[in-house]
Amino acid sequence: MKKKLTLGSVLRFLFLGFFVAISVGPLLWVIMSSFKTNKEILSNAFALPSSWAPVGYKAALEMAPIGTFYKNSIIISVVSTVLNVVVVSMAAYVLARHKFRGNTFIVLLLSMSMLIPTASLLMPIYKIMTALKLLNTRTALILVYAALGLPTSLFLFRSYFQGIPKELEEAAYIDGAGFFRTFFTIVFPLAKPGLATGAILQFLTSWNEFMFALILTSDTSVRTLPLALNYFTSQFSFNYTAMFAALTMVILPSIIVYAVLQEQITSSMVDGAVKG
Amino acid sequence: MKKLFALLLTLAMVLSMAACGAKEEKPAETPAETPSEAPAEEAIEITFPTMWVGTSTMTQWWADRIAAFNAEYAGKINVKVEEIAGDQNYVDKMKVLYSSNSLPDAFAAGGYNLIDSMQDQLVDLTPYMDDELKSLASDLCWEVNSRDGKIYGVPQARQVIGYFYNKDLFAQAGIEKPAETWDEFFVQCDKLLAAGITPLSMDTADSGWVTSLMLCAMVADSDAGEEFMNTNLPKDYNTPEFIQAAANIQKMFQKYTTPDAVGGAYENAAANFFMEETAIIANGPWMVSDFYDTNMVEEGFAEKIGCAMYPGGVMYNSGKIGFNVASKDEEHIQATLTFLKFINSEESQRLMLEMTGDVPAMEGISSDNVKPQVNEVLALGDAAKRSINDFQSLWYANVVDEISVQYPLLAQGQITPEQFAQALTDAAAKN
Repeated sequence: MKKKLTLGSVLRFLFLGFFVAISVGPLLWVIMSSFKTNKEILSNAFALPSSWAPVGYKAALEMAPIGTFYKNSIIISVVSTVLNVVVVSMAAYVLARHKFRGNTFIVLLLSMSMLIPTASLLMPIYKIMTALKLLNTRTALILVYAALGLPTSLFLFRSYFQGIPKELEEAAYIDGAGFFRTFFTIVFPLAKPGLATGAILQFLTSWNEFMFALILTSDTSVRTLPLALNYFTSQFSFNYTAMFAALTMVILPSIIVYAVLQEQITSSMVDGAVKG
Repeated sequence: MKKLFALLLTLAMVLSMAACGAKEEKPAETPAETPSEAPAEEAIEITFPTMWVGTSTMTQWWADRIAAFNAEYAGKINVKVEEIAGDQNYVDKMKVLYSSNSLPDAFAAGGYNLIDSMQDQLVDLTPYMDDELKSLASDLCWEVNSRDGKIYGVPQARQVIGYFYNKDLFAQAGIEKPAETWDEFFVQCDKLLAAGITPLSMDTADSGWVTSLMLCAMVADSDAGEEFMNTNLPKDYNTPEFIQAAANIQKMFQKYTTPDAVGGAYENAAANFFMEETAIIANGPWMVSDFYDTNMVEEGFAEKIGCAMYPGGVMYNSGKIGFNVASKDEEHIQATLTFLKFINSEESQRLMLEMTGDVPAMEGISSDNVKPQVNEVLALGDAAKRSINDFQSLWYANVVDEISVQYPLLAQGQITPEQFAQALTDAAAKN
């Protein structure tokens, strides 16, 4: 049976098409441009490339140590995400479930750190890392990134834990489960959508962070991908082809992570929407 | 879930350990890092961050010089090179290092003036001046790197800048030669417009380099203006010359340039010139190699490009802020100076001219192995009636930053030229 074309369905199609175009369009443009020469990009930004040979990718890999940066970005982003989720979820659980003197104050204090501009943290953190002898190590970036995402994760996890029925934990306690067992076997799995949302935000923060990576490291062997993009535009020269190729390589993991966890995020957003 | 959690924790621990051990790893091999490899145990290590990486025109020259220094001083001096891509990133990192009193042994911010803001942590090089060091640059170049009779920088290059124009587009508009006065310049802009050609490449981002070269060249079109453009750290921009020049820049933004000038950076301005969308761009001879790069321009583009001095016989023709030294002890100061003497030797400067088109700080260096436009620019520099320094070397760093904020407002008519001058004066007053 043929579906009847109504004004509503046409409008819906146009509306969805518009959002697909503005979401996917720039991404496709970047990927397409990574196969064009500088001249082709400058002369006609929307034309198809004359060749699909990966010349830009080869140039990008030659110009900047992208392989090393890639490895570091993966290690740093994954570890800081795991660290953030594990540590902050435990803190958030306690703050969500246990009423004690100073609970609200601690929540406010930790949330307030969201308001501190990152630029003002550069110098103090540089000093701290120097004192800890962690300068120029991946550990420094892991710790800083895990801490930078703390307020957002705490806020998310705490509100998610508050939405989980308390009765489930009470049942676990009655069955003889201890505090840790209750948290790790009952609450943690139930909070998976919320934790996934926090994890993806944390991963993206770590993956894209630039300033701390620049300031806290000096060896190419420990640096991360966002620094690589500056290798293709300098004060008086530029190579757009290599830059777009590098950009494609940089954004790909973010898209994959988002695509893989998309269902969890959507579910978490919806769950959050009906919580009091 | 328990398994998953255990797996995550294990992963975190393993990766943390891998991350903690990162410092012991040998750095990945990149051209600029070569010196940090295989240092001899007794070698003195000096640190030097470079912005000449990736697509920079200086990358190859720098890699070549470091390799040569390494070969000559193996086992004696080891230069630990840090790659910082992007000039603004470089300056930002130096600011943080300065704040924590941990500046590297040597650094060069590509012409940005960090002497005045970091002077207290820089080594006064005056006692170390010997004939060898002095001979590496002209007096003019040493002067730019000096404050109150003390030398704080080792010059590397001279700053000789005019503007480039497209001879074909000029011919289409019936223009025979570059203008000699600013009135004539604007008449030529009108002719180009009438011929359907956008006259000027301009920008506002990153201190609006291309635009600011035009601005300052206009300021210098009088004795008072020339003096202003040779004054270090000016505080008052409320001068008739500056306000008039700002008014002309406003006119240029509104009438004679491309729509992407507001918000655009150097690469937008350059791209418009390369694609023959515009007829004129202000910039230095380091740009010349791009005129021959067929990945960037059409075949034969270079033959269409001429060089000109600014109306009124004005040229940027001065020294440039060079390498600053911030070593903490005598041993490192000596090692750093040995490194800088090598990097600025006659051979290094000749190679720099040939490989990058940058003008050597030392007098009398020339080469037949350079593109014709580079020699043309040098000749124009020698013939200039008025020689000035550039704004990045002269003005306070925060004034240079302020330009990018104020240009879009000026371009869109949200502020007057007088307000533009006042905004820069206010920024300078904060120092």
